[in-house]
Amino acid sequence: MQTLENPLREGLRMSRNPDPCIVVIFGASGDLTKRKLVPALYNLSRENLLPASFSVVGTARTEMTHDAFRSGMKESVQEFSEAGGDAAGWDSFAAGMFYVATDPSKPETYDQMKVLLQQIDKDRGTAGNRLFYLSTPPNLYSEIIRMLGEKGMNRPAEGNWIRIIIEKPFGRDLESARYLNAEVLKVFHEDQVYRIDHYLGKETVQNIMVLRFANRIFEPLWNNRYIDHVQITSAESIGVENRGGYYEQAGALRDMIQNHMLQTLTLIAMEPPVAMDANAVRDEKTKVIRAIRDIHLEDVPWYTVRGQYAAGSVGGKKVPGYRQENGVNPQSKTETFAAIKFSIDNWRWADVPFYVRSGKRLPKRVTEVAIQFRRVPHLLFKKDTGPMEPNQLIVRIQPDEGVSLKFGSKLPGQAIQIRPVSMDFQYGTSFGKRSPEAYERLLLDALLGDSTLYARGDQVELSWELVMPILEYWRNSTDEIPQYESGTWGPKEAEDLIERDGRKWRKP
Amino acid sequence: MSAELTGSVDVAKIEKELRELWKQMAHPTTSIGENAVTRACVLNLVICSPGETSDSSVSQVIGDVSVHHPARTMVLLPGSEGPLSAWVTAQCHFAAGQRKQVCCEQIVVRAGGSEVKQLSSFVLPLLVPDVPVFLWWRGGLNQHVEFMRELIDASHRAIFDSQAFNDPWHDLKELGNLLRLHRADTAFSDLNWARLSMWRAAIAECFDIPELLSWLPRIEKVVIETSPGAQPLLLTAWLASRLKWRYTGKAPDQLNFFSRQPAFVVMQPGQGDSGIEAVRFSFRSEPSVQVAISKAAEGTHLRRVITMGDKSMERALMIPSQGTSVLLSEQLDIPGRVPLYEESLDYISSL
Repeated sequence: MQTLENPLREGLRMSRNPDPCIVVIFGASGDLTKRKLVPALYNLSRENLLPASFSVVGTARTEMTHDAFRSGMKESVQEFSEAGGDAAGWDSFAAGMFYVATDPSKPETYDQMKVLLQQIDKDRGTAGNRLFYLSTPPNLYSEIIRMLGEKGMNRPAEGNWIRIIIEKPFGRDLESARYLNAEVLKVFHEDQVYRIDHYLGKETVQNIMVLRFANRIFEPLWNNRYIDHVQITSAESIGVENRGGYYEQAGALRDMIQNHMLQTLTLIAMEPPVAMDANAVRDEKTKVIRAIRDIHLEDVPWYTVRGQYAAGSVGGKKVPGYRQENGVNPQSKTETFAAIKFSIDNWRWADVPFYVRSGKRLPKRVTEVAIQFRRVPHLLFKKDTGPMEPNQLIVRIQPDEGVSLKFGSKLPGQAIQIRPVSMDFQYGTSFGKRSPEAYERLLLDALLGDSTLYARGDQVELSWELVMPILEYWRNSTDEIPQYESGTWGPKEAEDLIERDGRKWRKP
Repeated sequence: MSAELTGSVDVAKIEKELRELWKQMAHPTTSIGENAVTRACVLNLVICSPGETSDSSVSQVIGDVSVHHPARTMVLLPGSEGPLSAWVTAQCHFAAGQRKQVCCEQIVVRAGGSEVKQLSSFVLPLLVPDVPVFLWWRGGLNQHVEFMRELIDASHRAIFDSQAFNDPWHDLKELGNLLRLHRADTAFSDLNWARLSMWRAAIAECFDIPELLSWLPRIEKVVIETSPGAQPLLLTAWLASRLKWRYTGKAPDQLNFFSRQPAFVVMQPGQGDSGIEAVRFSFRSEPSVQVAISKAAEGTHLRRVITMGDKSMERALMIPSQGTSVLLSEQLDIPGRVPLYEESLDYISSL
């Protein structure tokens, strides 16, 4: 990293542009590269947010020329980038794109990559800085990391940096997560490692911290004296589509709850950090995970529900059940729905349950956090008021990103009649401008060396530790997995989970 | 929907007219009222166009800006002929993907002769409380000076456009004086400074390269190809203040500076008439090192070429939209001061 400051950079939109560098994408022939990574880098380039000297090197087992890679990525950008691919902008971006085939079982291919990277440094001034992105199937991570270590591509020269982004899933259980962490840390320092959770790059997920810590009014209420419970919902209306093979190995708990939803929960529950730097924020998030009460094996049936979608109707269309999907075992016991009641054992959250649910083929696509406040201690307006609804603060993560506050208001008229009203803030109407895609934000942060929005190794292992008893119980259970009709809000057992506490699920 | 106020116009009448307007719009039998209507206001935008007789020159800009910044907009037309008159309008648009309309209020006030003196006492009570006030002054700095200063006093940010200055050297100094008078309470910004952002970013980016950064103190000559106007002076002031150059004097089309060694900024006439077209840097004792940034012929990109010996690095940098709506919208995004702009104005004042 340069030690001199550039005085001309001050006051510009980006007070610090990333250092010159090369992004090396492993798995460059894959879907994620085409749909998300290269379009995100291109969008950043169009916004002039990339460094002065920047290159992308794609790598995979397939042999390909530089031009063929550029041509393929141009099609991706035209399809998946909001900006499309204007000629001059694309030509300038593509001039920095290169390709080299590598195979972790063939060390000489990594020598070839090393030579290419050094040549790019010389020709394009990328200064020896590297961001490796592992976008391959997870079973290749260890080999690639080991090979980078063997070839000395893990330790930066003096004044340079090398970072590595690892895509989720980070392990498929505690043992594999620990193994992967150990393998990574044999080769890289923890501060070089960026474990991506793309939910954390979403504008509204980041807004949770702003809402809580840039506004004085919420913090006094943000505890068990005022909050009754929290519901975190991630609902999809689609099924597994053509990813049945992958989903059979994953399920809702691994796919969504262990990572995205637990990360969201930590943002809601964390204490204010002492600073907005990566470790201060992640320390507070880790403390939340540590404080979540363990769900022991024998308690799994009481605190968790799983389900699997059956045939039904979604959005006016008939859809098949999970077991009829391509790539899915007709006797599959993989859950497409999971609901869990978490308890956080600390002063702030004692006796405030966090109900977390995620599922496919639910009635609509919505991800939200609903904070329900306690009811008024004494109801003054009893007669003619109708049922009093408690206040709710809803943070909508997708779609219609925004925040709304529900409170009671008097209807105009002689009598006192109270109806709930919503005070809404929506990103779309209040700011009217494009929010950056999650991957744009996350890639830029990694280029800038800011790991605040990335998961730390200890967080990942603790998250797995928390859900292991649930996975184990479900794996060994001989009970038939509850079915729910597609287009409904999950199995009846999910209703029971919350209703026996005297509460109800929101219908977002 | 709009309503013109006739007879004597006062603040209460305008507020009443606005309430009527909202009632009509929310009524289900009006074509607008069929869909739910949301009144939105995150700021006050006061646009002052001295000498103009209608809001037609800014109506498109107001419509564009209100999509991103729903506001109560007041268009003031001091110096028009005729008695004090006003009309109120609502600007509505559908929020993306919604059936709901988002509507903002617009008040146009025309005043001439001695009524201009009373205009601020008429306008200021109409500002929506608890949201910031942005003033866009579209006139010269010597027009309705007292009224202008009263509006600046009431504003969180005063926005000018030095592109319209006839005598940039004099007018920018005058703007600097105005800034000093109001600095404590009002931030200043300039649409022309915003037009320079892409040049400043492109220049700054060149010197992010570690080798070039070490050569910053060795800049010997900067050539700016430009049409006449305030932009080259603003860019020069920015460079000089950032690099801590001391101004030593001027020659025709050249400004002289001194840091550890002399440095010169030379203005050369460009081909077009839309401000700066190219900026080139050369370095003392390094003839093989050149930095050149130029507008591409089609006007969509800047072309940046860095030559270091036999190595040449080229890059195309997108030119963001320079439309007035976009530039004004960006100013409304800025929460605080623009220290670099103020620093540049202060530098020009000292020339």
